[in-house]
Amino acid sequence: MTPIPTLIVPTPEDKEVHKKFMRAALDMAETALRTDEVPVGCVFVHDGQIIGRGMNDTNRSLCGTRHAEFIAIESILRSHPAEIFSETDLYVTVEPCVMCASALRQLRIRRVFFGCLNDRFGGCGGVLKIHEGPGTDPRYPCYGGINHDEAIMLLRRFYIQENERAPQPLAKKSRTLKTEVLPFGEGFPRDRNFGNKKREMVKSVEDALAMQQLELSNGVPTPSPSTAPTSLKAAGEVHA
Amino acid sequence: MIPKPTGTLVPIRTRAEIRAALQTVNCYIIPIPAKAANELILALRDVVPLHELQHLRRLSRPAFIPVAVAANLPPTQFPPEQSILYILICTTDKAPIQQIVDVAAKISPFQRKHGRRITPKPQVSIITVPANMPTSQEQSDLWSKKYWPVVYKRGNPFGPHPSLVENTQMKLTRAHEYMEIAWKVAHEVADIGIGHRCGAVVVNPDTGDVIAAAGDARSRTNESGWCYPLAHPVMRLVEMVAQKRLKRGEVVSPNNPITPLTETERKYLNSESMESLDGREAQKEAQKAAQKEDQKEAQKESKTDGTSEDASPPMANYLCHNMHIYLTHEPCVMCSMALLHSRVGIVVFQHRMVNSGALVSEFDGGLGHGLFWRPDLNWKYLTWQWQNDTPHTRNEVPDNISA
Repeated sequence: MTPIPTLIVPTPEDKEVHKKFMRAALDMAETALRTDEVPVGCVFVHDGQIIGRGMNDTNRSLCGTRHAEFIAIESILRSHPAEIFSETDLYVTVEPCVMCASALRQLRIRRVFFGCLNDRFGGCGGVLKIHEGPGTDPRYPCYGGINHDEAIMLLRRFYIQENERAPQPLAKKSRTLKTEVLPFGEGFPRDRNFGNKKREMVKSVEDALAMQQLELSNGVPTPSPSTAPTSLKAAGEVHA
Repeated sequence: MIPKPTGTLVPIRTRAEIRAALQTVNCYIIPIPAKAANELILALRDVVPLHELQHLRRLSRPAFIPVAVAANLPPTQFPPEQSILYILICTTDKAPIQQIVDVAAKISPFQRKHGRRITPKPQVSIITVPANMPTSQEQSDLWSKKYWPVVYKRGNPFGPHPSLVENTQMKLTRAHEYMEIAWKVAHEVADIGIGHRCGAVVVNPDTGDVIAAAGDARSRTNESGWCYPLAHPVMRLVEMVAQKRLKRGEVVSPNNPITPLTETERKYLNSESMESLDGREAQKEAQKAAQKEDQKEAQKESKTDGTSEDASPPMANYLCHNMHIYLTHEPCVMCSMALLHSRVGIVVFQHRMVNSGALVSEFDGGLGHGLFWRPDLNWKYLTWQWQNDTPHTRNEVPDNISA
């Protein structure tokens, strides 16, 4: 078993403080769920005060980059200079994606606390580790697993809902809401063993063929199962 | 009048492809009289049932073994008039060397024979060979000169198939036009001092129309006097596409509304280049509906159990699905991932950003993410570098920024 990419809150601070701010982030995620958005919410905390809140807004805006972090960052930058982020912590219900992880690094965020990992495109350990490693901007520490079960249950509640805007409806009638949750970090990394080359090779060949078909059909895009539009879903349970 | 740039498109290699090419394995080889080659292969069947390294020739004449490799092999004990072949037996982890020697020793060329002064002994040597198949003819030729004769079969298990890359590249005939627009908008934002000299253009893959163009705007200040450091060309571009899709009165990002900042940005943001996509959509939807009707009737007739799912709604009005992106600079991790989230089809960039670029996967001191084609992420796009050397497209951006 590969070690868990992030540790569970090793900071000296009171766990209750983290849970309190994560609660605020979860509230944002609840709001997102009510408006048919992927339930991801976040708050930015500076000097013990919440200075910005965000929730996923990709479905309403028809824009794949409107993640909770960006919504909050934009509202903060209306009234604060970007330098404030170097003294600010982020609490987000789901691990920041690769894009957000990079954005946070470019803003020089102080610390990031998140709920559950994102095995589709997580940027803080779920898939890649953008918060550490080489780069032009300073690294930041990341702590996962705060109110992890609640974050996962929110996502699961979302996936059993119908999403009429999703371009590829999936058979959701048969879906049921599972309630058991693996402990944080278990089951990761999923199918991501680099030694398992055969699987990887098969997959990339399939993808190449799928893209080729797209090309052959003279630019008329036919969604193929392996290219299911999952950007509007965070940690999905559908695996191509 | 700015001269028309002429340039070439160079496909970017995937991360898996680069890694695969660096992997090598050790193999046993043995010289044997040509006549006895088959005998030895049969004798070794218990140890090596199949030739596993399909990208390497099983047999090689001494002349085809690279000079550097041949220099380390012991001289063969067979008489010089005898025609010799080298057999590639298997990787060294399959069997201990002694086992190979023992099996080989039992076949005829190594038996004591009347009238022969020396009885040859099996001379098993270990050589290093590429572990994976070559993904281009050039690589194959290079390896044949360096390791062992290599077989090139057109294919690439570590990235897009070569024919997909070639066919797509042939269709990118207007790359120079789009790059020109990306540079135009880059110069505009830099000249008014709101950002670096970087620009981006998004093109409708069906019609070739430019949907939007965006320059860098990270130094632009808002009413409070603060700037938005994440206003990179790609982020603004993706928002412009969404803004064009949204109904009147709706805004992509209410706290930081996307507005055209230059003449070129305004021209395309207000253009109707989105219409073609949507028009096409309506048409296709009608077709699909008709098809569905037919299917339903067919189902009624044949009384099938009707398990087939509803036809999927079209993708063309979804994010930036399959669109083509032209960039003056290699995008950073954030922007490369934004393109992935937006489901773009093709990205062409000009200047490599060694310290911050996230598309190139080479080990050249860069980040090596190769984000455009990774099996561990949920979308892939094809990527080319546009190489040209026109004075107005020189890189003026400091190398420590994220483009």
